[in-house]
Amino acid sequence: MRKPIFILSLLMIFSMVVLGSGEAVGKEPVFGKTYEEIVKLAKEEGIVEFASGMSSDDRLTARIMKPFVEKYGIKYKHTLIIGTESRERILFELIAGRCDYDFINTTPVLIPKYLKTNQYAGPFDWQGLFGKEFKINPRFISPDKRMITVGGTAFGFTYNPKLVPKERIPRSWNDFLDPWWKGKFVIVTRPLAFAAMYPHRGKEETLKYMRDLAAQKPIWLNSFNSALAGVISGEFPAIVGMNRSDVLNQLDRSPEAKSSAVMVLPDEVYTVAYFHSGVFKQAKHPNAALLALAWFVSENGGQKQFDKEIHRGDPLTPGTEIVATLKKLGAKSYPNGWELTPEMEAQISKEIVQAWGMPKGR
Amino acid sequence: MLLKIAILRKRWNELWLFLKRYPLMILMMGILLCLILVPIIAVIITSFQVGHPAMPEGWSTDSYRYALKLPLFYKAALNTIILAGVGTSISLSIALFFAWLIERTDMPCRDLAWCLLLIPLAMPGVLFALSWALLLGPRGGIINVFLRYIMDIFGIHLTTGPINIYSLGGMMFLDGIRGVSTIFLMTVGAFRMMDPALEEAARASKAGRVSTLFRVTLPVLMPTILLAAMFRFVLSMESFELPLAIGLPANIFTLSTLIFFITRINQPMDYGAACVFAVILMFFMLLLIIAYRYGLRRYASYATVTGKGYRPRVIPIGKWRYLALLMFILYFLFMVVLPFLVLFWGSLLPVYLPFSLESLKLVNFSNYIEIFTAGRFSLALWNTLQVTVVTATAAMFLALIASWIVTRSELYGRGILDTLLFLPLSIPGIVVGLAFVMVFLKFPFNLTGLYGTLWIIILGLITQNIAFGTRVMNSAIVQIHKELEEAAFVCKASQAKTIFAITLPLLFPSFAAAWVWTAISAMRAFSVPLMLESKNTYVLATLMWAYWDEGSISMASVVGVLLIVVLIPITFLFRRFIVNISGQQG
Repeated sequence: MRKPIFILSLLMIFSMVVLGSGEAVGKEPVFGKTYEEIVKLAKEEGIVEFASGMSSDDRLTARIMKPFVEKYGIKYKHTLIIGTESRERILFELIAGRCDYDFINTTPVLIPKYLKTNQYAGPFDWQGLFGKEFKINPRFISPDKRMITVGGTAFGFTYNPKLVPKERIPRSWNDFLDPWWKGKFVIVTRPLAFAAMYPHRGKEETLKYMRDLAAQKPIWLNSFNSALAGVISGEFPAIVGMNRSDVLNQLDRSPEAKSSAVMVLPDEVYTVAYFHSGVFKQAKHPNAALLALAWFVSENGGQKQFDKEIHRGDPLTPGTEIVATLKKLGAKSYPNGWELTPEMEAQISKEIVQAWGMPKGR
Repeated sequence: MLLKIAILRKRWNELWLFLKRYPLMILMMGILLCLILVPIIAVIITSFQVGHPAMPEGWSTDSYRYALKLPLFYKAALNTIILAGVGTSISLSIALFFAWLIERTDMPCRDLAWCLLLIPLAMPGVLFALSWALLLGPRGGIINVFLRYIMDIFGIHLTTGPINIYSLGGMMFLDGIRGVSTIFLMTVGAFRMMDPALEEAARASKAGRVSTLFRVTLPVLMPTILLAAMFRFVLSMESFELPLAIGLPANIFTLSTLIFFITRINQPMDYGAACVFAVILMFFMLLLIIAYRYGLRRYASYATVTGKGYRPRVIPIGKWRYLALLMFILYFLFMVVLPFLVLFWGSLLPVYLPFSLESLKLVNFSNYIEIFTAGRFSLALWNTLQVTVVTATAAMFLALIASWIVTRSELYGRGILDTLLFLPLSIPGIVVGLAFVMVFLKFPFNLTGLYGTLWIIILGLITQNIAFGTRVMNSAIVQIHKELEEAAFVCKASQAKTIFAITLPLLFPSFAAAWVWTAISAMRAFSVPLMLESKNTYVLATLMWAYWDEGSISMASVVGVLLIVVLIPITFLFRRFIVNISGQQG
């Protein structure tokens, strides 16, 4: 009698485990073949679920997405994710067959891993499918036509005016090599700003600058937001390589912090493309995701909303806030788009991290 | 040769009879051993593989060659040993002093002090570390701001400090005061139960109180003290939250944060090297655990309680008792009150600002309204509750069955089972998390669909806590005579019925105390959930860290305040169970 019970128990547990499995992996989603078909299917799907670092405020997200929702009546669900580790975690979940999002904005250094594990659907003929409805600049489409970018990120410095005297306000990248700044500034361990510097300054000069910066014994933090919170709270005087839009967004949300944090764009402003996204093969709402991404990359859709709402305008598009600011400052901008490929960025990041004295990885 | 075959056949028949007799029990033991051994094996295997763990590209010792050539590895190893050594010494000094004061002297409010010393046990390490970052940050830390104000009055003008928590010294200080409760719990019983005859003999020979303490009391209790110190050293070696919050900003790595750094922060992430560090850390921890077990066996019969009747003697310390109480109050201030106050201050501001008249004007309770209306906190609370209850219940039932097999059965190899059940103590939480990632990304476990669910966190925490559960159940079961169970067998009760209807009710106080302790451990767990959490499976401790990482210090403070408020009554419940078990007056 005990033997059957034993076998039965084994079977029950095995069934529960198997039945509890995540979504099946690998089935290609079905996309509409025309814009009208895509819209029809997207409306049937009814919702698009995505994750990004675009906004931590639901009201701000609602303002960004409002034109899309009003135009198509498709709902959205946005989850805030911060940092490379959250994108890596999502990659693991996808590999394990679990897909909670239709797309995410991933960091460029992880794109090769996503591509290697075959996570993205496509390629898509963006102009052919959406060109009549949206104005899409091909500059924002990846070479393999699976992914898009929206807007850009400009890097500079943030400082606390209560801790930095007027004569020490940084105006250029090399200011932080002054002995006064030793131990007084934060560097975020994601080397985005410096990877953007690399194609323009060259390898030797950039890595020398990295070694010189590391010799100034900076404080190392792993997120821009926690670094900014540290400046506002008076713990850290400044951040080098700070993301301009994060600072301005935080000051928009918390005007009382304006006396504690000032964003400075230096004489050389390096920018990178933002919102690298592609539809996942395992997406539950693939057409809604594709339509949303097409809207995001369009000039009057996401590009305009990012510029207006979260200070992430494209530095090469006339009329954006960042272009006006750079013109006013007389600063020179060094933009990076898809020509700075994810593979290149991953390699550059390795070299920068090694120059900092941290494990370079393999 | 024939004799050997006959012996082997006999063992096999015994094993098969045992399997036939207790199939469910064996199945559960199989699951438990898988939980312990499969992650360890996965980490070791990944350390010898090339490429991403989910897409290995071959075998190589390249990870070992790379990892062992990293200067940072040796720095991290040294920092780990220094932190553990100095932190344990600080904890030991303070804990022994308090144990002596509370159990052997007439210090006032001793019972209250006993209860209050438990509270730090329930505080998640991340909460403690982040609150001290706000208190002793070199520029904005509230204590530093106050000290600079005082020093200004005396003409000493500093722009930073005078104390910098982001240093190895700062980490040692925090680790030291945090470890006091653990050592206190492990040694206070010995102080209470020690026969005072030796101390009386010392006093009769005109030795003073201090002299008696250092030359009689402590040497007599040395085995207990050494065991407690070793256990605390092991916990300190695997410490993760303090080095994460305090060490990383200062580029001070320990082995646990090095593993986290190169799998979560550094780009690109390197799982091979991380697994090498994990293997090395596990190896060192295993050596420590073996030494600890040796010490347990060797000193288990070391008697401080004799057959003669005695009354524990309280030593009057005269006017020093108020100073003693003041020292205890100071410790409680550092450990609980100050962290709570700074978090409460932070929770009342829209954005964290140092204390000033301007920032006082911004104080309001809107963060509390937001946290209860936003979905994140309620989801984290519900997840924490599920994780806590399921982990504690599953771990304790598995521990009960495992301990029954080890102590009551005649199964060949039960000693090996007991050793294997102790093994998780040598696996730091961060390694458990990493190991489960490795396991559930690979075939066939990636088919289970458990990755990214609450279950994978629960399984990780069961693995972490099973060793404690089995130790408690082993001690409890051996105290119950077999004849009670034999009587049940005579009445034709099944094994399962006997365990749950006879044995469990008899050892329920121990079971319940261990359940509460495991629940507290699961509730404050951080490193395992941090490595394994997913979109909707974060718990309160990781939610606090997420808010901090997002720059929302105020929201992180709200979570911290609520955590402390919830955990305090639970620790008093734990204290009550301990009182019931030991028969002490509450």
